[in-house]
Amino acid sequence: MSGGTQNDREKKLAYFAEELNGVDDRFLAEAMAKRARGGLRRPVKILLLAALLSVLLTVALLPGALLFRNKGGASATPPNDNLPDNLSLEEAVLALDREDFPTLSEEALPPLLFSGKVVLLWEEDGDEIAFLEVGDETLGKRICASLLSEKERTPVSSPEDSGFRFWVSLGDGRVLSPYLRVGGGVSYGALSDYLPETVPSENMKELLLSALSAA
Amino acid sequence: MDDCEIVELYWRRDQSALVQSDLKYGAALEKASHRITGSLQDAQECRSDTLFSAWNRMPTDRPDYLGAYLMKILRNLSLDRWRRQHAEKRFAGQTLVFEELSECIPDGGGSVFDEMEKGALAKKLNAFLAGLEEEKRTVFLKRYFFSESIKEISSETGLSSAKIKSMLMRIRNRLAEFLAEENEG
Repeated sequence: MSGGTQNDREKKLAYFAEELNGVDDRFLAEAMAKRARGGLRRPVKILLLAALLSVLLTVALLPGALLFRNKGGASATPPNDNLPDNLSLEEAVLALDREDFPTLSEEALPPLLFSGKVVLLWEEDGDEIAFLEVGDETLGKRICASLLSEKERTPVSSPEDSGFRFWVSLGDGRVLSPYLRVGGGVSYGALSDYLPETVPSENMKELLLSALSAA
Repeated sequence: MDDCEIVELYWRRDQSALVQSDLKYGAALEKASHRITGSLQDAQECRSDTLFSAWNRMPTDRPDYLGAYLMKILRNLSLDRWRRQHAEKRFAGQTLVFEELSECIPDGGGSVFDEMEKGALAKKLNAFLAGLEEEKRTVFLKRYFFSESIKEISSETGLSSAKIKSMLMRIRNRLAEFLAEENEG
């Protein structure tokens, strides 16, 4: 029986491969031409990132008392305290120095999700996934409890996908994200792909940034 | 040299048509074949076989889009070669790209895929593609016709990998719905 199914599958694939060759030449030429025009948008993106970085740098160099919550200034403070209050969680995470955090290979993901430890993971534009084990057990428990107990979340105003992904692995295989709606945003043993549906609450943002700042 | 001029060379049986075609499309052909065959040597042979095949067909054919025309010849040659060399494993290497998309076709028992009319699905695919926005159509074809990786598509289009993945997922869902409706109708 399975042989027949396998045979059908192969026939289906062969049929599909043949039929794809019937795609209109116009569409193929259009896709081939895109090669030449492609790449125009990336420099624009790089310029925007450079502009954002320079703004962040300028902000970081200004007197801490004016911009930061802590009175001691920027130099001796943890990363989350170095960020202006009005940043979203996404902006705050992306403003951190990525090199401070290890990145994850595909093979290392399953053991990490079942490690018994709370782990924060994030990805930008399909780049390597950065992660951080939450060292403070109490804080880890508070993050899990908050994620699991939130009754309502604020939907995102714009359905656009920024390419930023953030997950929290509870350590028992369950993975949640503050960017997904309650009830629909739990995966098991894997990181779900998604378009953000909700905005993380201020409380959640504080908890996650506290964990990140302890790295 | 533009495509029309190169085709004209083929029609005049001027062998510089082969040189001009290779100059303009050779590298892209070889790269596309390499994605299918996974072998540089096979890809180089498919590149020259494609030009030779075009040379033989051209007195009859007069393609409007030479690049697309050559790509189709190349794709057939590369798939044939791949099938021959992997006869035991059959689509084992390239299943990833095809499998994603073939899930959109409704399953049929027995020999339904033997009996399907040649070109029937291609016709529906073209109707579907015509209804897509240009950017989506391009991403779709780069992935499923040219077998490009998400990373390659990203660097060519400037779109993020995450955006491409979610775009492809939505297009596949739409295609599945479209084909289901067509089958009912």
